[in-house]
Formats: sequence, structure tokens, C-alpha cells
Amino acid sequence: MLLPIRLLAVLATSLFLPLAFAEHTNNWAVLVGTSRFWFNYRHLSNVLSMYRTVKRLGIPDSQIILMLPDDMACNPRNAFPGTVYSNSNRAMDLYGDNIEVDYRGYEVTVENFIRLLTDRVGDEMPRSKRLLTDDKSNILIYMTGHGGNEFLKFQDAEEIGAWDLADAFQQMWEKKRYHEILFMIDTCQANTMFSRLYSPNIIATGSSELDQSSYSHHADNDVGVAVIDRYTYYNLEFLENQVKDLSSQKTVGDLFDSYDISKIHSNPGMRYDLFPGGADVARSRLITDFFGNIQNVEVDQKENGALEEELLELGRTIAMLRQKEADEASQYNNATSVPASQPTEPVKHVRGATALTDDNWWTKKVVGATALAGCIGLWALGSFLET
Amino acid sequence: MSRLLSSALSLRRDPRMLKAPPYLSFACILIGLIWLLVLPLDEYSRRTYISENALLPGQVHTYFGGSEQHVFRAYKEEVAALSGKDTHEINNNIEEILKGFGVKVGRQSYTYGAAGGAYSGENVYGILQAPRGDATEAIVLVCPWKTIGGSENRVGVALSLTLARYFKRWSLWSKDIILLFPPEPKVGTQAWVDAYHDAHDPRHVSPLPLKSGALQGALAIDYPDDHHFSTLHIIYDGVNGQLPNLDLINAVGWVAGNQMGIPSFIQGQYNHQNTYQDRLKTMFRGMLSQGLGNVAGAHSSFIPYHVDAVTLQPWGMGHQDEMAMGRVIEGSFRSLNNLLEHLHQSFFFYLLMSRDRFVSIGTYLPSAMLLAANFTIMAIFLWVKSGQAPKTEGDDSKEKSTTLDTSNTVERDMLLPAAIVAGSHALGMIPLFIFNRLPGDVLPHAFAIFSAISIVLPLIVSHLLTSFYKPTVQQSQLTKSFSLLVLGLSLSTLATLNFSLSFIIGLLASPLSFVQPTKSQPLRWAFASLLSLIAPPTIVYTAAVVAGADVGDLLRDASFGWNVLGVYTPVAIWGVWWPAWTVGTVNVLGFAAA
Amino acid sequence: MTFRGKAGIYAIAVLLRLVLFFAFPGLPDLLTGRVEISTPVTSFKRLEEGLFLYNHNVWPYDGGVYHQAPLLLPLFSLLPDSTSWPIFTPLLYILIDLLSADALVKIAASGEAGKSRLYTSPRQGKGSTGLVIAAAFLFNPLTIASCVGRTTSVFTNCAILFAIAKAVQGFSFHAMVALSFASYLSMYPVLLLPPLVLLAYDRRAYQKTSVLKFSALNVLVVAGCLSVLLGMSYALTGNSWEFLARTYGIQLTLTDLTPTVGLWWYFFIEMFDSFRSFFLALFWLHLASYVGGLSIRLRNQPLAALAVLLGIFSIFKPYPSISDTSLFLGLFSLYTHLLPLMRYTYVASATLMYASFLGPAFYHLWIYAGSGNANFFYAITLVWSLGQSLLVSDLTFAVLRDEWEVERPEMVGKEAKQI
Repeated sequence: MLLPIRLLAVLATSLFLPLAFAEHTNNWAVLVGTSRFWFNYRHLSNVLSMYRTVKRLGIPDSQIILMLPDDMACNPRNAFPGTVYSNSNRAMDLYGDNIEVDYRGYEVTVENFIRLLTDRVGDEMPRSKRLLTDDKSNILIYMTGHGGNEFLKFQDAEEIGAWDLADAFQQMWEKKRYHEILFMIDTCQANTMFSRLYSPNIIATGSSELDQSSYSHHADNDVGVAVIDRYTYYNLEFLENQVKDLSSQKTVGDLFDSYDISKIHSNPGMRYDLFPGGADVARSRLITDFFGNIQNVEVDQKENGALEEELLELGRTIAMLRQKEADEASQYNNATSVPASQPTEPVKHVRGATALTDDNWWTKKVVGATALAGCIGLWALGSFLET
Repeated sequence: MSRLLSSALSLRRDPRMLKAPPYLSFACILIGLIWLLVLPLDEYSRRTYISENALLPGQVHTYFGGSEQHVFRAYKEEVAALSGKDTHEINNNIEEILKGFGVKVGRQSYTYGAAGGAYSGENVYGILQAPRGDATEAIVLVCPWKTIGGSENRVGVALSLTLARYFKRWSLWSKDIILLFPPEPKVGTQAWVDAYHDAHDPRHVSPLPLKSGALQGALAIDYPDDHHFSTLHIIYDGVNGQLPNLDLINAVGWVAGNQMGIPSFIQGQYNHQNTYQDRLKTMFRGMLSQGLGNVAGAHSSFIPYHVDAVTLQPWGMGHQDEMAMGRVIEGSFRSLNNLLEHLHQSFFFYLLMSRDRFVSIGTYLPSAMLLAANFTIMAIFLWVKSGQAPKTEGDDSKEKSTTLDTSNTVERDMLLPAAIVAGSHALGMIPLFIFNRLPGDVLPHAFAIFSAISIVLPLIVSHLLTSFYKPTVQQSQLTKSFSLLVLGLSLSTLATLNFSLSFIIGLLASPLSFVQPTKSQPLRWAFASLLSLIAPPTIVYTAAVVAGADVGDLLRDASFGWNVLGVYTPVAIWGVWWPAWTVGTVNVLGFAAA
Repeated sequence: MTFRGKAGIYAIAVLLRLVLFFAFPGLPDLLTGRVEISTPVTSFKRLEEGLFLYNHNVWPYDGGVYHQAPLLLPLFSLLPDSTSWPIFTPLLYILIDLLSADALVKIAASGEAGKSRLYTSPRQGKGSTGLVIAAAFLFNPLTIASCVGRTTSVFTNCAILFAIAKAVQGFSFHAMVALSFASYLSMYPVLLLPPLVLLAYDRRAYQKTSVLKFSALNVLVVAGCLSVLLGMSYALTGNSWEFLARTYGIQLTLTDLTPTVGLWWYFFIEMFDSFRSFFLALFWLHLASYVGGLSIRLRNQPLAALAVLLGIFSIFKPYPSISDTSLFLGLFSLYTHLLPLMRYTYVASATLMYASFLGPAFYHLWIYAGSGNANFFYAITLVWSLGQSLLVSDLTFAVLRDEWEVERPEMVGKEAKQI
């Protein structure tokens, strides 16, 4: 009851802001791993490499949602405990210090993922687990795991379909929760996963076509598993060598052009048709628009007295709203002053454990005899009636 | 459609239908046998492959070597010093060594009695707890003090101790590692596994003081002499013919072959050239071993508890040394370590033609099922025949009846045939009881006496029946029908549990389908003598001669298998095959007073 | 049949059961543990659990293990402790088996199977003697296994057989009391009420009253007896009606999905929750649907209707076991005079034999060897149900054909064309 008032206040404030520019003002990243088990080590190192990349390019942890379904770093089979590597040279530990995992273990489910995207969560959901984007946010969504024709497996137990994803994105669009999305997916038959998207302002890219598998790049013979997938490996190679800092002017098109099918061993795909302006505009977007944290500042252009008038008006509205809030609060307090003697909840009776007792042995025998007598009596009644 | 149906129905009455079943039966037996013979061909067998993605065999470097070699030599000296000592002293020493590098140690004693002899001993075992694991699962390294061949497993024990010390230094185990040192490979492991699962007989086996989690896999080492070897012999047969999951053999073979460059072989075929004959021989050896169902190594006792296990035996003269063997074990253990659940993706029922060629149950089961089906077909045929009115002499030449009048079915008098079959199967309990209880030195004599009785018994029974009951042709047919029905039934069920045993018994009992009582006396005796050639006691003697073994040893092994391991092969022989043979021979000797 | 013959059969049966109980000490527990013999609502182990709780002043249904009728507890607690005097429980079960066989003999001796009030079979007199029927029941391996496995469904079976025997002798009140006992112990015998009432009516009461009055009276009797029994249970379990949910509720809602030889458990393991109640209602409705049709069609032979219904129940009830099959086979043996009319006896018997061999083998492969799964075992239970269905439908066919041959004597021995 009190909340809508505050919400109204915020809305009122926002109404008076100057018109937004056609640029994003904040960057978010949603990095989703979907596999568990030790032999899927490479999927988690895929996600963690992307995590480190976006962090390097400035996106803060508060704007990264990291979903790791299993704990590879602390898996007892890990020969290097507490670490996750994406390269057999073990030059950089992706796990290490300074990591914030938002969804871990069994929290990574299809339902939680869709709720995250659409922000249909309960009041108790902490801010760190919510995607608090607005219509000026550019989001990088990266998913990896085991997939197939228009589905992606979550935790070996359930799957998300291409239509589910498309509908979730559409909800985001309707709720004005993004400005532009770069959707990247590294699984088998990945391109089918974005084939059903129908919301505007999305660039999509995947690692392999229908009926094609995506392959791992190389294995580490001491960790004992494959440590990175090919598509992600070559993405990372581009990002690490070509996009060194936020001033980089490399575009999305450059990234896509760097894909070498003979190295990736599958056909990566792109989708530009949802983007206004098509392939040209999409490919001209900078990498840092999605992977980095550019904070465009909106400068207010108007320099006239209308501003003071508007501010005054705003002040009055806020004061009125505050007054209304105070009135209603006092009303509520009056209403809730009931005598404290009445209990508001029924007292819960906690049943203690029943004690086993062995007395009543004779009682039991007597009861038994009575029961037997009763049954025999019933039968005898019959004999009596039948004669 | 209706015309097809009615013509099919009218076929029912065609007298030619009654001529077909014996030929059908014969065809079933022939096809069943030929089926097995074509399996080694490339078209019907497949190469083995790793089905469980989690195994990742051969993907880790193995570091066993280097300074571990000195440790191994030291342990080898200690083991050599224990040569010839008694079990208790050996176990004391092993316990000291294990405790020395921080492994918890437990001991267990057992005393079994079988065939008049006592099999007693004491196991010592250590539990290496995984530092970061949660102790809910464990893998076992078994190293008996004596090898399968009877010599001392010196290099094996030394290698196990070295490996234990080496494993202790790694923190990447997700399961506990249990090191088991039974005094010999047949009884000790059985006692230990039974006690581990609380399924032991408290009168014979003492419980385990220490336990860990659920067992996921086991490897046994059989390595008596320290010559350099060239190939690896993998022994995988379990008790009662149950086999470990094929992925275990695949994983060990992969680690040995592809990572370490040591080829492996099975069933003693060390010179396998991948020809048809070699494959067939390997398959038959595997079938024989599976059919007998007795223990093949220290690993066999694990398999009935759904714990996959194999025994590894270095073989031949080459340039691989014990460090290579240690690396094979290390690599296999690292693979087993990756597992999250019991191996279940690959096959549990298979026939291996060579280490890397197999057929799965869907491909080979029809051969045993056809053999069992042949008995069922004959049983149904005899049932139908017994229901027909007997033809009077003389009028069947002129009138060729083209239809069978179904109302011509006569009442079947089933009491006597059912009693004969039931009685004969009940009688089978006697040899089962006798041969499992008598002391070992009496066994050969008892068996000889029993064989003599077994040959004479059908004569006596036949004589008694004809004198006291005057049975009819119909009753004779019904007896054979019931006996073959029970035989077919039992063999089909057995085929799902132990394919090879079912096939072997089916093949040896197949003449029973075709022999029948005849009018002429000499022909009856001829049939009876032929049947005596395939009587179970005769087969046992023949097998002993062919294998070059003593009959007494065979019988002692059987008694041991029953009493200690729970092998049920004797039940199949004396409770299913021998009664069927007896009834068949009684039938042949003819008790029809026609 | 002579007294000597009967005593001989009974003596051998008792001896056999005693030998099995005491010469093989592990056998009773082995059989009690098998799912083919013990179901969640008839298991002896669960009865022991309930008995322990009852004897120690704990509500026996606490713990969700014991699902059987409350009155069994005081009756069993009358027996001396089974660890110190292990003879009494086996003696009780052997006695029940003998009483059941005796009831069967009485039913056979009445000749109702061949000649009922409204119908006389042309093959009357060609059936088996009471001695053979008693022997067939007592030496049936299924009956012996149920006895040694100490399942409590033998009490229900005994009560049902008593009900039929008393009805055949004309003592309708006794019959209704016995049926109430049976219904109280397991729920399904109440479905046998219509044909039982008709049987009792045919055997005595048709002279005195009309069918409707007689039925109404007997329904009242059953209701009365049941209420007495339920009242006793109410008093026994601490003056509460909660035991109803724990006994009959379990059968209605199938909360315990332990495998049995029946069809229900597999279905309801994989059932989505939203459809559960619908399918439960459907399955129970299916079970109950045969009563009306059979009672009407086989009005002239109510005993045959009872036999066929018991066969159907042993296939389609929620927790069947082999003791239900042994009961059906006992009643089946009353109709051996119709064996020449049956077409599939060999096939059905062979199917049943195959299923009884392969069932334990596949259960072993599923549970112990771990190389099979539930589908193996369920497939064999389907074969078992198929074999029983063949027997039941064949019996129905034979009964109906027998009636038909009275109308159409010229068709004796000829194939009947079925449309």
C-alpha cells in the first residue's frame, strides 16, 4: 500500500526528464553455463572466460549475472584446486579471486533464467540476482552447454526451447528492458536456438548450424578434461588480441569476419534481420558497445526558465504525495491498534516423540480376547438366526 | 483379408501341420548353432567403444615412475622377505606398511567348509580416504598374496603398496581407494565383499571393522614375476557368468593400448591374429568360462554385487616394466575417478571375440532362445498329438483324411505324466545335495556310483511303470511333452541370466526332442545307449578327459562354487538337465503297453 | 469322498507346509520378502511392524508402514511371541489353508457348479470330486507359497470361500457375515455382494421371499456387520476414524507404489499429478464395472459369476498377489467339467508358467544385478496378467457355451462362429 505511492513518485520524476538519446547508457552481461559434471569442465571455463573479458572491459559485477551450474574449481577431481583454466598453458586462473557468482549449482534452472530475463521475481529476490535493465541497456547474453535442434539442456534435467527464449526476449522488449542485445551461444546446433527470435534490436550469433556439432579446442592433460570450446576460443582470441581496452574501435562485423570455419570446425552463424538497418548497421556496432562498459552521459540541452518552473512543479507534486503517504500511514496505525490480548495465530502444538512402553501386556491380551469374542459372537448370532 | 484369415484357419486342420514340428525343431537347433558360428564375422560383430562420456580414459598424464621405482624396489625386498610365511605374519607386515603412510587398516578372518576341506584365512585391507571427497563411494585395488596360478604375487603386492603410497600423495580423488590383500584370489575376496555388503554368513565370515562408501569399481593385479612383459591379459568373467560393464574393459584397454602402448587380450588368446578362427575360439572360451560360472580371479566375487571388476595380468616377454603396469593402473583409476555413478551406459551382456570386438545381447540371445524354443515346439506338438483319438489299424491307408475333426480330441489323463515329471525333478535334489555335501576324497567314488545308478535308473523306472500302471501311448506322449515344456521353460529363463550355460545345456539336451519310443526292442536299446552318451554324468567324465583334469577336482570345484560362492550351475545340471534326460530315457525305453 | 481320503490329503498338506516352514529356516522370510507374494496391504513383515507398535502403545499407523485392518492386531497379539514360540504363526496359517480347502470341498459337494436352481449343465457330473479339488487347492504351489510367505490375504480368501460355502448351504446370514469380514480386511470383496446374494437366494430363500426383499435384507446385514467391525476398529485405534485413511485410503489413492504382480504400480509411478485422481477413479470404476454385467448375464449360475469375478479381481485390483490367483484357481477347479469346452488352457497354463519363471529372473536382473530395469519385470507381470485373462475369458466362454448348448443341442461338438 505504501509502495505504489513511492512508485508514483518515481514515475512522476521520470516524466519530467528530458528526452532520451538513441544510445545506450549502461551495459549488462548475462553469462549462462548450463552443464554440470566434471567432463563438462569446458562449458564452465567458456563462461568464465567471457566473464573475465567483460570485467576486463569494465562491466562491474553488479551488472553481470553469472550463472554456474557446477563447481569445477572445488571439484575433488580438480588437480589444481580452486582454479579453472581455459588454456592448457594455465597462464590465467579464471576463478581465483574477485569473482561473484550470482546463480550457482541447482539455482541455474530454466525457470530462474526466464524469470531473470523478464524480471518476474518475488519481492525477496536480492538485487544481485536481478537483471535491473532499462530501455537504455545493452545486454550481452552468452549461453553455452549441450544443445540440439532448437533446445538447450539445463543441468541434464530439463531444457529451454528456442520459442521460450524468443518469448522471453519479446517480454523484455515490451517491458522496455533492453536497448540492444548481442546473443551469443556456443553449443551443438547452436544457430537453431536463435532462429525463432522475433523481437527487434537483437544481433545473434552461434557456433554451429543444424545437424552440426560444436567441438572442443584442446584438453589439458593434467586437469584431464577438455578446457575450452573452439568457437569460444576463437572469440576470445579476437577479443584478447584486438580489443585491448575501451578505446578499441573494432566492430561486431570485424569479430564475425574473424571466424575461420577451418579452425572452428563448424559453421558459425549470425542473424542481423532483427536489427533496424540490417546487416550494415549491426556489423558497424562496436564490440565495446556490448562487451565493455561505456557510460554515455545524457546532457540536458535546454537552458531556460522552464526548468525552474518544472522543478517547482515537481517539488509540489512530491510534497503532495508525501502528505498523502503520511495520512495513510496514520490511518493504518490507528486501525491496527487492537488489544494485544487476543492471539493472532493459533498456537502450534508440537507433538513430541511417542514413548514406547511395554506395560499393558495383559490389557492387550484382554482386548484381543474381546475382539475375538466379538467376532465369534457375530458368527454365533448367525447360527442362532439361521436355525 | 477375411479370405486370408479363413485360409489360415483352415490350415489349422490340415494334417500336414502335424508333420512339420519335428522338422521345425530341428531347424531351430541348426539355426541356433549356425547363428553362433556367424557371429565372429565382421558384419555381425562390432568394434568396442567408450559409451560413458564421463570416463575420459587416457586424457591425463600419468606420473607414476621416476623415484617411485626406488620405493617399489624397497617394497619388493620386504615382500620377498615375507615369502613362505604364514598369513598372519604377512598381514602384520602389510598392516605396518600401510599404516606407515597413513592409511586406515582393518582385518577380517573367514572359515568356509566345502567338499570336506576348510578354506580359511585372513584378509587385510586399507582405506585411503579421499582428502576432498565425501567418502560416499569407493574404488578397490585387489592384490591377492597368491596368484590365480598358485604362485606368490610378489610384484603385484609390491606394486600395490607403491601405488597406495603414491595415490596417498594426490588430492584429486573423488572416491576413497580401498586396498585389499586377500591371501588367495578365490575365497578371500568373496568373504570380504559379502561382509562389505552385510550379506555374509556370520558363522563363517567375520564382519568388517571398517567400511567406506558404495563400491564403484575394482581392479585386481596378478603379477607374480618381475620379467618385462609385452601384453596385458584382462580377465573379466564373474561368478555365475555375470560380466562387468563393457566400458570397464574398454577403458582399461584404451588406457593400456592407446595411452601406454601395451596391447591387451582376453581369454588366454595371447596370439590373437584377428582371424575368424581366433575370434571363434575366443568366443567359445568365453562361453565355456561363463557357462561354468566359477570364479576366474579375485575380481569375480565383486560382479554379482553390481561392482564392475577385472583382473589384470601382465603377460609375455617384452620391454614394459612394472612402472608401465603401475601407470596403466593409475590411468584406469583416474578414469574411474571421473565417474559420477555406476557404469551403466555400456553393455552388461555381451560376447567378446577379441578385446575390441563384441556382440551384444540382442544379437546373440536368439541362438539360445531358438534352442529353448525347439523344446517348447516339440512339447506343444506332443500335447496336440496326445489329444487326438488313436487311429485304429487298417483304415488309414484308404481314407486320406483331409481335415481333422476337432471334436475328436480325447480326454487327456495327465496325472501320471505330471507325477513322473515332478518326481524326476524332485529326484534331482538328491545328486545336488550329495555332491555339495560330501567330503572331497569321497566325491569321485560317489560320482562313479551315481553315474552307474543313473544309467540303470531309467531301466528300473520303465520296468516299474509298465508292470504297475500299464501306461498308454497318450501318457507317454504327455510325459515327454511336460518334460520338454519344463526344459524349454527353464532354458529360456536361464538364457536371460547365463546365456552360455543355457546354450550348452540346450545343445547337449537337444537329442531329447527327437528320440521316441519305438516298437522294436533292439532299436529302443540303441536309442537308450545313444542317450547315455549325452547323459550329464557322461558329459562330466568326457569334459574331465578333454580338459586333462581330474574328475575329483572338477567335483571339488563345483562343491566349492556352491558352498562358498553361490554358483548355481549344479542346480541347472542336476535340477533341470538330468531329470529331463532321465525322463527322456525312460520314455525311449518305452513304457507304452501298446 | 471319504473321510479317510480327505484326512489323508489334509495330513499330507499339513506335513508339507510344516516341512517347508521348519526344514528350511530361511524360506519363510525369503518368501515374505518377495513382491509377488507380499504387497503393501498384505505383507507379514508390515503386520509385524504394526504389531510391535500396537504392543508398545503407539498408534500402529504411525510410520506409514502398516496398512492393514486394525482388528488383525489384537487377534495376532493373542498369539504367543513368535521369537520364543515360533510354531503358532505357521499353525495359524496352515489352519486357515485347511479351512479354505474345507470350504471349497463344501462348495463342490453341493454340486452348485453343475446344477444351480435355474440351470442344469449337460456336463453335470463330469467334474472333479471334492478330493481332487481340495488336493488341487492345497498342493497348488501358489497356495503353498502364500501360506509359507504368511501373507494376510489368506484370511480374506478364507472369508470369501466361507461366504460362498455358507451361501451354497443356504445360510445367508453367515455368508453375509463372512463377506463383511472379507470386505473389512480388504476392500474389494464388497463387490462380490450381488452374485453372493443371488447365490444365497437361489439356494434357499427363493421359496420364502422375493429377490428384492431378500437383497435389501442382506445388504442391511452386511452394512450392520461392517459397522460393527468398523466400530470395533474405531474403539481400538484410540477413538478416531483416522485409520480409515490409512487402510482403505491407501488402496483408493495408491500412495504406496511398491512393485507387485499387478498393473497399477507402473502406471501410477509415471503418472503426472494432475491426472492421478482421474486415473485412479477410472481404474476403480473399471474393476467395479464387471460386477453388474456378470451378475445379470450369469444370473442362472451365480457361482460361475463369482468365479469369473474373482479371476478379474486378481488381475485388476490395486495390489494383487499370487494368493488371489490361487483363490481363483481354486474356484476354477470347480468347473473342470467344462474343460473340453475351453480353448486355451494349454496356452494359458504355459503362459502362466513362463511368467512365474521369468518374473523372479527379471526381478533379480533389475534389483540385484542392476543390468535390467523396471520394464523387464513389468513386462513379465503383463504376461502373467495376460495368462490369467486368458483363463478368465476362457472360463466365461466355456460357461456361456455350456448354457448355449442347452438351447442348441445340435451344435454340440461343432465350432461356434463368433461374430
